[in-house]
Amino acid sequence: MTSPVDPRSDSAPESSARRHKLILAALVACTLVMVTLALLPLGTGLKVGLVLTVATLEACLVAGVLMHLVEERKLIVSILVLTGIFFVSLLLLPILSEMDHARHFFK
Amino acid sequence: MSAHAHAMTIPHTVEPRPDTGLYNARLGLWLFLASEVMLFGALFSSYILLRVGADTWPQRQLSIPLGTLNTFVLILSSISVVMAWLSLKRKDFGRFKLWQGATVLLALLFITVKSFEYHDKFTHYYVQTRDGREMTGHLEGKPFNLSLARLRALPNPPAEIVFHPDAPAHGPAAGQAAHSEPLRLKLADLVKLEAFGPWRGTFYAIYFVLTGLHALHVLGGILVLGYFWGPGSRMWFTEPERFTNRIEVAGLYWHFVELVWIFLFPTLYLL
Amino acid sequence: MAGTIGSASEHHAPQSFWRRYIFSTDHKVVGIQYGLTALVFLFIGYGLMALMRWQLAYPGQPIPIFGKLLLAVLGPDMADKGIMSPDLYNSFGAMHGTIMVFLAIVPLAAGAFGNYVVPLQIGAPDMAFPRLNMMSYWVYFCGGVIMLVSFFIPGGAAKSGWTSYSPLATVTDAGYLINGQTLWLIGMVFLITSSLLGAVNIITTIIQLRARGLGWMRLPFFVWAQLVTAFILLLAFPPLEAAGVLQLCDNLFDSSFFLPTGLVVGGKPMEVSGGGSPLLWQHLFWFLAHPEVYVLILPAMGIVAEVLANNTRKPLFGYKSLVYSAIAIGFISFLVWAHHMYLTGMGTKISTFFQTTTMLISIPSVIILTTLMLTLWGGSIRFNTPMLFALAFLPMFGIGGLTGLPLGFSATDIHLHDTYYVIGHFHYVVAPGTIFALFAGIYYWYPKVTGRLMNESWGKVHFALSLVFMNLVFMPMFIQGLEGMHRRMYNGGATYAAGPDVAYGLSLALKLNVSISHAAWLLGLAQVPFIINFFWSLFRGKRVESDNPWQATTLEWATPTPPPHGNFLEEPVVCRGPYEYVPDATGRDFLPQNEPGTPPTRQPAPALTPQTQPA
Repeated sequence: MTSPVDPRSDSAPESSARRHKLILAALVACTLVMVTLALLPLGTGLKVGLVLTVATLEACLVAGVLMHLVEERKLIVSILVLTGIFFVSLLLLPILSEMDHARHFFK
Repeated sequence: MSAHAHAMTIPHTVEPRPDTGLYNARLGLWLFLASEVMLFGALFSSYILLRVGADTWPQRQLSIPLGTLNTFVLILSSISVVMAWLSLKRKDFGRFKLWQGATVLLALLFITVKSFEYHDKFTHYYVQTRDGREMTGHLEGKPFNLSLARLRALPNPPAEIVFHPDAPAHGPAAGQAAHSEPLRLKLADLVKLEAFGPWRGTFYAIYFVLTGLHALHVLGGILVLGYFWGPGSRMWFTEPERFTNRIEVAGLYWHFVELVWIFLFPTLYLL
Repeated sequence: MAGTIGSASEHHAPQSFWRRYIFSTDHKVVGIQYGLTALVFLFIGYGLMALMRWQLAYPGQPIPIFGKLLLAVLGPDMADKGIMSPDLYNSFGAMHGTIMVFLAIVPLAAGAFGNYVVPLQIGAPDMAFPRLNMMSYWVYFCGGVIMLVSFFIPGGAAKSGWTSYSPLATVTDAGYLINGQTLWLIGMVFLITSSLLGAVNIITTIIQLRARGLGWMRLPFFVWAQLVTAFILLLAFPPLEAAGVLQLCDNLFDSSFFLPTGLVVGGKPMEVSGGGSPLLWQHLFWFLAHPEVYVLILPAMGIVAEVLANNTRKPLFGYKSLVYSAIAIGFISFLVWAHHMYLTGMGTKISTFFQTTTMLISIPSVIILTTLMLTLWGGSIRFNTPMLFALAFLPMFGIGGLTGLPLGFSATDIHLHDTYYVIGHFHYVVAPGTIFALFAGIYYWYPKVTGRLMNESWGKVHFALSLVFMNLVFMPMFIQGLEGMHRRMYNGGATYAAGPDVAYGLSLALKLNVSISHAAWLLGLAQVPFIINFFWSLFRGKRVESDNPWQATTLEWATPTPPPHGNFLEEPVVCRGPYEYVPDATGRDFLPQNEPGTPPTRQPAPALTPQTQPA
């Protein structure tokens, strides 16, 4: 039984099934869009940007809806935001260090 | 140590704590997932650094159809794992077994496809001959992960090998064209013979580590989800709420595994 | 593991010897296991250094007694004629660092003190995940065994520093597939896994299992410190685990994650694909290793705060500043790591960024140190052994922290990087810093764990000798570093002193090696009273007369001594903050957190200037 403070109360079975069919369709669609974009003759920078944007959208659907993050407690969301900040700095700072190098890097 | 044998209960294993609204395992698993984000983040950061710093970066080295298939497999399994949990919330144990079983089967399918892809890499070879020719292709009989050192160390090393070179690449839209005529190469003429493993280049190295670590997580998921489908499901009959929580938490883990793949797939297969 | 079908969360006190003392899920047993194992590793780590110090003071001379032992156990490649070879020196150096940081200090500070004290201080019956807790300890134990085993395999232990920089870490001992570095990496995976699981446990416990009435701002500062520490471990360790996997691939599967193109080893080009970056390893390593140093210091600050409040008989000064500073340190610590990489050719823009964050993080550190010092003002100080160690922590950590400033600026770091100045700096923070705080914690909580007090006189001897010798060991290192003496030189930099143009300062600096070594060995002897006291007091120590011998306010003193399975006889309800040291009419000067009743009004602090009218 769901506790009184649990925000995810039971929805009616039919709307839940419909919701999941929608999500399934959305995720499949995102994947197909990604593959199509990748096969089009676009410039590298544009292609990377668009494909990763669609991937991020797909990830938000999984995280937000399937993992219930949109209705999750503030505590969990703030832990994930904190993690996100460190994740972004881990992705960015090494490459920024390399690009600011005295010599062209790796040679 | 006192022999006090009174029963001790850990609060909030099942009922949520009022001010946080969480039961312990859900908080614990989200914390674990945060650490996993940093783990895969480090690998993605490595990928970015290695790719940007490389003169050339191999593209279209992996089968897009197979990768797309695996993406659909994981998407389906994400839906089925949520349906399993919803079935338990509606007290339908039979449906739960169905959906949970489907999830495990889909996960096994993912691993099977991945094994096929890995096998393909380890039976694909790069050769370099003494006269400077460099070719990629397959060997007769499709041996697994052969190397020059291993060939030479055989008790009766063959004098020559039969090599089926790949057709030259045409462009991103072209698939695998038919191989051209097989070549007979003398063992003595070979300078290098290696499969497309992590040693081939940083692309292959990061591909194997990223997908390998992801696959290990899938295997872990199979073990946990399978346990809860099988012997662990007995808990439904004694402590249904606690069991439902376990399924929810396992499902969260499974969704994270899918999340990682959502970024792995375009990064390695498409871009 | 047999699945018992019984009530989920009920834990009955286990009966068999194995379940009670070896594979226990009780956080107190796990905490003691961590503590004893960590102390053994502390001893081993010290031993490695003591042997290295002989080579530094008397390069090329056979080591007395232990030289023969090393020769017998490790063979003539490592210790021919009992003299420490360069390879042996390097492996001892790498393992001294690794063992001290990952096998001794962190397990003691977070594993032992965290596991034992935190559930008690928050009024919980145990940790949130007791079985996970047990597993964390045994995974740590396995990691430690793997690290120790590496000394005895062909080639010996890892010898590329605790920092394991590539390509050295891949190229060294490349003749053996499974070499010391491979075992180091596998051991690290075990240790990191143990820490991650422990961090999940501590954070969940603190958030979910606080007793009724124990709001966030009523938590003892020790608990806050452990919470921030656990978050750092949770989020900073995984990149090192990833890096370890990548380096394992380089070592075992000939990949080139960290091997640049065109690498030539021993005159021959390496047969690898190249294309990798040694700097990638450094980024991933330091992403953990910098926050790791805050993991080393925060629990220590937590312990010092508890001991200071208790032995000044007044509340901590600036509790909120302490809490916010600890949180700020935790956050900023993730953004400073490349100050370890100033000499890698980073450009000025990015160096400026890291310098700025490094300077920023010194602000909350100074706030914490200052508030702890201000806590002493107007206090009624009791000079018992835990208090002596806690008091000494303050100036020692001050020296350590201040000497870090020239290292944080890239301009001055150019001269000081990789010299003995760095060694002096970080040892001041960890050795007379953290270790002193850990000693304070041991003397302070020993009566709760065992029901007996450690001997005070010998405790004071231990303290005085340790303080003197710590300073005699590490203070001269600043001079050596400023004169340019490099670290990790197996003959103590004797090569530098060989030439005719050596500056006087450097030759003097090298002479200091002898006095430093003597002081280091005497420091080891100074621990003997502690070791004897620790074990002797278990059987013959003065028994405590109450459950709260230090007359403290926090919840761990509200349990029976030693606490039983489940800790509290009845669920504690907290009604006030953690440091209500206020004298009342009966002469009692403290009010425990869970004791009902209103506290007496606090008298104002003594005036700074003399009053003309008496109150």
